[in-house]
Amino acid sequence: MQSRGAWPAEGLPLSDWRQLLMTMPDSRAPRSVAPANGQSAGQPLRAARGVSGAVPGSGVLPPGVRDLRLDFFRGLALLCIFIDHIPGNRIADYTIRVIGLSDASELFIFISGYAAGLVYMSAVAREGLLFSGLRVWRRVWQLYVAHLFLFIIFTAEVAWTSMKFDNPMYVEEMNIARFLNEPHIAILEALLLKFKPVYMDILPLYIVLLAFFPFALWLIRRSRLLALGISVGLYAVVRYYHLNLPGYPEDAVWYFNPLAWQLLFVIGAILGASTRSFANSGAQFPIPRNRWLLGAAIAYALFGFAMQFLWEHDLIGRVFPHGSEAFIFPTDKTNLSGWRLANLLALAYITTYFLRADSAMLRWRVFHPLIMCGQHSLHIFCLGVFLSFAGLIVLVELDDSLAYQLMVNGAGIAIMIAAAALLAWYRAKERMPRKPNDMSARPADIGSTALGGGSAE
Amino acid sequence: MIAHHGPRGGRRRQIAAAWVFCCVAVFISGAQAAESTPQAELAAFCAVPEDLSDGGFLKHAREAYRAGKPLRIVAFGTSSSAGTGAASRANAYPARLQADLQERFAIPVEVVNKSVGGQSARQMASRLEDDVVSLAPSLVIWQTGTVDAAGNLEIEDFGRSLSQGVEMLEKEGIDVIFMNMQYSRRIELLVNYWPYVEMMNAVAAQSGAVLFDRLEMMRHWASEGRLDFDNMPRAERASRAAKLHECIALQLGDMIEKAVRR
Repeated sequence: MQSRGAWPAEGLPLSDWRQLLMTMPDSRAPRSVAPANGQSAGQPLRAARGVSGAVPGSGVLPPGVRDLRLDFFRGLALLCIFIDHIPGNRIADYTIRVIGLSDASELFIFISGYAAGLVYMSAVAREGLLFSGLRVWRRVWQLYVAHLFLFIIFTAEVAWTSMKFDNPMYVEEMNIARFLNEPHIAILEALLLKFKPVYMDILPLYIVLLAFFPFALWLIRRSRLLALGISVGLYAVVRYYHLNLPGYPEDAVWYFNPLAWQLLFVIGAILGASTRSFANSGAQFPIPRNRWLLGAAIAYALFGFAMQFLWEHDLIGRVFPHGSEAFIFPTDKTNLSGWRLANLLALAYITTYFLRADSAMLRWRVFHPLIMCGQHSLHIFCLGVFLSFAGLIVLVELDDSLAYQLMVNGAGIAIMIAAAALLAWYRAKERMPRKPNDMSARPADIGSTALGGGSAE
Repeated sequence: MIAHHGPRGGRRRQIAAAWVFCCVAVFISGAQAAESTPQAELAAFCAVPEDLSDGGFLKHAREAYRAGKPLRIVAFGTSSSAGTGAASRANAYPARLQADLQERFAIPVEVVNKSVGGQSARQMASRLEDDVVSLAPSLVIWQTGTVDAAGNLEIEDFGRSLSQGVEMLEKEGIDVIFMNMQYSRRIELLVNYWPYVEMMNAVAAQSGAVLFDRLEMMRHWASEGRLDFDNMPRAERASRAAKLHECIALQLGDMIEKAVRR
């Protein structure tokens, strides 16, 4: 066994690499099995061949073993996004947005950046920048197609709603359906990502961020500090001059301004890209474990929690009279206010400080559904957006009492988890009847990648 | 006292007291029934929870009222204030508000409707000078938010237009009541109002403007089954819209009266 991590220098074959990323955790496995000899249960032996260097309980995963924390929190973010996207949903008062100034959107983008940095950085080392860049763009293409698919569903929903509900009293509100009068333009604007119907903002953001990610990768490889500097600079300029990308209809802007949100993605990517090399050197995380830093993070997180609590419960005026809370509220989500960014980073630091990558908790059976959702994030994300439309239609057309709300939330979550389980099962099945050495010629593999395999990003 | 009469005397007294109580109760309820005018019925129909009707402080309107000067108000909104859907301008809440306030106050009241459909908060703010300040009212009811939300317009820009508008009006000695969107469950399928509502609430709190929470009031009326616009026969459209504007005028009248007499 080599003590030096074999990632990425020794290089696993591509098929192994992909397999690693798609392997699901096996909750039936004994809890202690994970990192001891560089394999986690359920992963093929070859996957972790020749890699080691991780000490059990050190919190360090050996290279090549998936960090389930990413899947866990991404799964959590996806469920929260589904719940938050049903307007008037009382369950949405209990999603992760109550714990601070940031919410599931920040979590999703940060983890996506982190995973992208983690995966593509090592891919670049093995395959070169051009190939990895094309791989990123293949992913962008999948996201783009998924977004357009959701757009079509939304259009059908709007057409149906406006047919059912045309009341001159709501003429301005129904302006949103005006695009049905000029579908040729609406389709063009949707293709350009300028037209983003309600609650369909986050996927276009992710598409734009990922589309520019190969350039960020190149920068990060040259110098992490330079990449961070450019990103912070862009963020500052955009916030100072109120710049945003154009939308449709006229004067509309992006609800999630990519020019500002890129900072969170890039920070995530730099941390992700650094993790691999730090893990090889035995460190836990690219940011040092420091008690003072932890104290500061906890202090800020508590501040964020308190402020959010006061704001959500309309108590802010008692603490800050005459609107003096204006320095922070309402937080600027469109341009990713510094308060929100700092809150997410503080929470991430606290979480990674206490929840190690090899924590047994991540293998608890109750968290398995969350982790599965996080591992099929594109499919589950799209399904979640669709389900929040569908759930809202149920609430509007039938009954929006608490009982129905609970039912809609429960059914939606159950469907998302069931879909993730089916996807996991399908992929596992696809791979199963192969001999260990016979990995290259797999017709099914082509199908899985075309359908959005490589769920790691 | 009861001890002197023994248990039996106590019982007799209780029965007598119960009779008296019943008689009084019947008399009072009868008096109330006799008093049940159309106004009282409308007030009951349009009632909203306490926290929604709790107005604020309207400094300039109160000064005008105390000085016995005519009270001039500008209704400054978009389609729903202009009367679209309520059949006509005469049926919309601004006209009804004038009648309502005239009954409440001895001073002359005038409500001028300067609403134009389809304008964003920013477009409205640029119209403030000509359409509001030039009329020198003591109060403006600024109804906005729908167009911005439906058009995905920049939220920060929306907030800036509102706060700059209030600041300018304050300098001119004009109070501001913000009125937010109309409620409908179906609209929630199409527009995300929440960030704009939140921004308007914040600007109101930060600038001292009073918020008339039409969205929550309409949600309340819909949830009580009184005024539901989502599921209704086409034939009832006009009458329900008229009722809605009556209720809005009544609630506005209450809010203004409370703020002025405070």
